[in-house]
Amino acid sequence: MDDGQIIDLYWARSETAITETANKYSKYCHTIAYNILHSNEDAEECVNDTYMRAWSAMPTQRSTRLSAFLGKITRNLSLNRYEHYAAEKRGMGQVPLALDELHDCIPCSDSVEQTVDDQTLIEIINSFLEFMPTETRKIFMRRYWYLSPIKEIAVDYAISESKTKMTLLRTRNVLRDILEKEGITL
Amino acid sequence: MKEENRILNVLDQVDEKYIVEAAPRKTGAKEKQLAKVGRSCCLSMPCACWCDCSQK
Repeated sequence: MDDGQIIDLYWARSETAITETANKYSKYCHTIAYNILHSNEDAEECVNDTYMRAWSAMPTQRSTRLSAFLGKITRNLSLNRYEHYAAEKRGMGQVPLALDELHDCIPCSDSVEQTVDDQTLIEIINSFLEFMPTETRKIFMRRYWYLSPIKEIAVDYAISESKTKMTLLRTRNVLRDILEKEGITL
Repeated sequence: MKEENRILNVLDQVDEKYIVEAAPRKTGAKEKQLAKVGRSCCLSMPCACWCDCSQK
């Protein structure tokens, strides 16, 4: 079933919408949740919560990109759960590693002039992504949006782990330079 | 860690086309392998036909 038909089912308040969503996107959502939480049980719960959230959010947010819509919900739910676990010192998965890497993107404090709101920061990141080579952009998003392990990214793109790490390092440095050039602090 | 967290959270709101584009199922070795298999099938088909015809 294509996304348009599934969205129509949500709009018609048909419970088949959830079944069809699960058929098509359970693996996708599970991957996102598992990368963050590193637990099949927690990931499964987040995926089930995703369907419930989609069920209640769909009437007001008719998203044409259903995968991104569902992926965002799963990512948010999983990151919230991760924060809860991290507070209890039970943090696992790729989040601490990704956060550590993202430290490279933080501009030096002496070069920054202004703190930006989220909207401005999103515009800067969108423009940064737009001008990036496609494969580099995909690798960046796989690491920091999907929080995929380096090893998995390397396998999927048929490149070595060291090349993946180097690509990510260079990309983070470019983002930091852009933020510094704009005189932005986070 | 606040700044890093902010980047991680703000990424959630980037243009959806980049999220869709990088989706794990859409990328990777599997696609490349399939493309390779497809290419080799296309290349071997004329050879197979030629052998078949030449035998007749």
